[in-house]
Amino acid sequence: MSVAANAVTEQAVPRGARGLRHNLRQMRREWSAYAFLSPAVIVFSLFTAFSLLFLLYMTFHEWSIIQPQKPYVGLDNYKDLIHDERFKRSVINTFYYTGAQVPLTMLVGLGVALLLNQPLRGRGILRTMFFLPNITPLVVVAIVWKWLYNGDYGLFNYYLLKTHLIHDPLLWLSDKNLAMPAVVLMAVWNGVGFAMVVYLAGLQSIPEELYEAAKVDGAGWFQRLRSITLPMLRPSTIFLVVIEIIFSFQVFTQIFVMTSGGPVDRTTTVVYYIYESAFKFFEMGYASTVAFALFLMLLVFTALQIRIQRRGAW
Amino acid sequence: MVSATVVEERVEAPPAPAKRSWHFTSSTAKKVFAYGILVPGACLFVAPFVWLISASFQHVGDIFSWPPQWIPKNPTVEAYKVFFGIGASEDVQNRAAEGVTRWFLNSAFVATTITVLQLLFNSMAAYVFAKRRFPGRNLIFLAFLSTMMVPPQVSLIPNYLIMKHIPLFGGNDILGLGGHGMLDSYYGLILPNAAAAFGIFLLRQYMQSIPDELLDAARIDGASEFKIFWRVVLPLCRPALAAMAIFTFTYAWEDFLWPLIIISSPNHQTAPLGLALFVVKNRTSWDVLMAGSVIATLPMVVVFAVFQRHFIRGISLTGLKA
Amino acid sequence: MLNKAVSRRWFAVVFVIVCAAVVAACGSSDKSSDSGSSTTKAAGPVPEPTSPVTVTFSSWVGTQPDMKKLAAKFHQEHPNITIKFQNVPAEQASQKLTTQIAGGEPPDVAYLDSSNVNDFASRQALVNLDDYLSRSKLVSANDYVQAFKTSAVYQGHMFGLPIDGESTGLFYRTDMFKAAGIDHPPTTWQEFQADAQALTIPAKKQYGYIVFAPESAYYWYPWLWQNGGQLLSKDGKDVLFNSAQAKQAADFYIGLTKYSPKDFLNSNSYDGRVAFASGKVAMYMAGAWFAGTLNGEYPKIKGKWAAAPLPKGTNGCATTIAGDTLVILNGSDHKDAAWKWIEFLSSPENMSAWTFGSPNGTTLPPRTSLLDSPQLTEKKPILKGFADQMKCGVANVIANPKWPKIEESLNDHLGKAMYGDQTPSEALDGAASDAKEILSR
Repeated sequence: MSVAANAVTEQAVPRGARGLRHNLRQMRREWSAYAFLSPAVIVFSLFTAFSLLFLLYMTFHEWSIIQPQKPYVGLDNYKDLIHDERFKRSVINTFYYTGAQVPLTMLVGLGVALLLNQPLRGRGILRTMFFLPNITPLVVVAIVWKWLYNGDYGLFNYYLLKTHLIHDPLLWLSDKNLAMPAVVLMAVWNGVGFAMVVYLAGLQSIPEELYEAAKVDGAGWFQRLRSITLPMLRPSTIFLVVIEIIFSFQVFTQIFVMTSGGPVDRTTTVVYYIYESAFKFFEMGYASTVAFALFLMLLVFTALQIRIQRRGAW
Repeated sequence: MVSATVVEERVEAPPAPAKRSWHFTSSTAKKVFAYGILVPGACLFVAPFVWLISASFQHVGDIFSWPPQWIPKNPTVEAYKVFFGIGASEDVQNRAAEGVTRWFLNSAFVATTITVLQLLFNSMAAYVFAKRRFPGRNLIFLAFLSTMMVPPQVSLIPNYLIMKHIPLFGGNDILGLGGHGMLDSYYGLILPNAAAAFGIFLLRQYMQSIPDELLDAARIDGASEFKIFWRVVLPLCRPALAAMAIFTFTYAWEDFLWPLIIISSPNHQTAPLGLALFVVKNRTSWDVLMAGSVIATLPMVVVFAVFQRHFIRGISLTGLKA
Repeated sequence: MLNKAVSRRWFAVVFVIVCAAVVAACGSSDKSSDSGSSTTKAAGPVPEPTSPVTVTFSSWVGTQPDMKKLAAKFHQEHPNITIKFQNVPAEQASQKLTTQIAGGEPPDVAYLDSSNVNDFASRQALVNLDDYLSRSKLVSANDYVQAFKTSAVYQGHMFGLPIDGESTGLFYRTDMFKAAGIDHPPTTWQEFQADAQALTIPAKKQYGYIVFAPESAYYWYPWLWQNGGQLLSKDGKDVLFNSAQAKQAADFYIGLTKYSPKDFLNSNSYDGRVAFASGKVAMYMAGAWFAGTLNGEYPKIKGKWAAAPLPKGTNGCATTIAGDTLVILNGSDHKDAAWKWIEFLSSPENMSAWTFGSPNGTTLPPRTSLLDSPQLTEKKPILKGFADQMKCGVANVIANPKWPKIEESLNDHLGKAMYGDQTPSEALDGAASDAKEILSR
């Protein structure tokens, strides 16, 4: 089906296979494409390209931001990074957080989007309600969720104790092993609205006739989901996976307001570490090194995902 | 002709009544199931916001009482009065902030402009990534994505420097020296956000599902690229554009870090910045902060409620008037 | 062909802009190489500006009516100087100031948390005020309370004028004390421990005290000093916080974890106030600000709490202090006018009006002459205890730019000790070895 085939775009000719002359000719022919890109390119070159280059520059210096002397230190920052236990810990924590939060958010978001795509009464209101966490001020979210997680009076413990699932109140945010799951739960709650909106938009691009045809063929609800909905939602899913991973890896404020990075560094993430290095210890050179490492990780990860997508593997 | 057939097929797609018959068989069971999950879930999702509204109508001494009051026992509009500076009471005089309306006007202006610019620039870029083939396409796309991979904490200072040295703005000469560039101005808030890889990516994914035949047909008819983009592609993207508008507006409205760094004069303050002034270490004016937060969140709720109407199947079909 | 040229031209424009920015960045970062040594060496009073001048003042108190009144009053006395407020939220003030300095656009005057002054002074971002002070009639360096002065001094020079402050005391629930049969707040370590033990009844969900792992180091310092311990040597080069006295203090302090509610262990101290207000915890160590919070946010427990000085250790009394300091930034073009502003604010009359003269404030003036004044006792009787304690205050600010990193390690290790991952002694030794490594770089 032409529509499904369009969901996976592939470049017919491998880059550079036909030589530079061909490419230049193609560039001239497709000049309007570059023209369409130019506003974005200008904005990005001005603001992001420069900061990335500057970042790289700072990694080779001892840059304490406001001190005039910024001595060149070669690869010292990188060497320190490799031996830094706290950095390694923060990377592990960040992987844990991302690995838990992304799939959960997408699953719940998909479920809610599917339910709210049907012609129910009041679905506009329901959709807004599910999106509210995304726009509720963080300071309020932190207050309310800390109440929910309160050891003696929190709602979660209250119900868990009442239904005899646990015997002693759980310490949630103060427990070394529960703190990250607690934060992940809040993050999923926060992110579902986002996934829901993306999936809702994607669902609109699925033509009704497909479902009609499938029904005629006797396909049940689950069969329709598997053969039509999910494959047609692949672009949205790809988007969500890539974006969620990029954003999840850079999580900072949401965790920090809940646990201050504790208990004993169990929820300290890479970006918190960057922030601390830059603005608490005034070690911008080192912070830049950490940031650059993060950047490389994300770049490789994303490039792999895009490549897998092009090969049609999922 | 393939394209004509496709066009005709779509125009003849069954409208709403057929949908109703499809759901008729198990509609009640389905509805009960759906509501059964959605309503309790929605209540959990909405809880903090509900508490926020409730707290904004409470005295500061009641806000942190235990158990939290979902419906204020002694409701008061004092916090709102103080927030807007209404009334001559000493409390209002002492705690009110200046220029509150200004904050909201600034935020509205900046967020709307950013959203409009991104709707245009992002969709242009997304279109070529989705539908055109040209040398370097995938590399440029990856480069665009990489703009999201640098955490703001480290890009703050370089971007600040760039802002300060933009030539011919804010008293700068052609080399960008001498003045303060785009610092402390609307330009400084808007321009770095005039395009965003996030929106480009979102729209590109959606545009991939537009049938190539439509575009080919328009090209055969002699339409220019821009016309194809404007007349054929964009109207088909309403759901995605609506989603992008929601996200972009929300992000621009809530943005705190960048305005914090480049805005110094009260004239250009945005709402999050203004509200943060109520958080003074250990002397936060909680009630006023709650009231202000409610007011500050309303525009985003409105934007969402308005744009989510585009998430209704059927609009993409009727948009076809090639 | 045409469009390739167009895109080439765009690249050229961008390239030029980028180069200009880099040049400017390099240029501006050298601008503040004017080191911390004295600026003007003239004698006599600081001259009044002859033409109108605007002094930018970055703070989070610019919206308060008291400050606005002071600015208006100042303008009347100095018609050529106008104060322009740059309002920043308190939590991000340091981050913003750092960025402004790095970007070459600092304000003229900043209202800084006292604990941040050294970070900036040690990096040559502030103006040395010695000369100005020697020529001033309104402000004298010797009038400042020792601990507050220490926080503003770097390498023997004064870089800021402390404008307000407070000391840390012990808040306790009088109703809970009464119920446990304790008739006065603890004055010694033994009494403190005994009281905490008596007040801890886990079955009733009641605890005697409350400790916070994320802020473990900060709340350990009073105990450390009371026992005669030190953090670093005076020259900032040797680690002293794993001495025998320090370990004793750490044992005592970490031992308080058993009298503390476990579900607040990972909380910050501000959120922990809820535990005190709700009657879960009987004692809470905090600055005078807490009195204001209790009056404002928890009026229902009025009369059920009181404040007392911290208990005394073997080395006498000691407490942490906090406060705010006024500084002049090195990149300022109007240093004289800026001086006039901070001198004005620091004068006895205005400092009194700003601190204990303000109806809802709980801050105290860091000048000895004002702390001893009868007006203070008259206007703010509840702060009398805190005022007395100001003289026992010890600045936990170490004049070493590497201190924040060392403190972070100390905080981590003590936090681990609170969670039982290591003994207090191991914690101090671990932090000490980290500190030695940091100092040696």
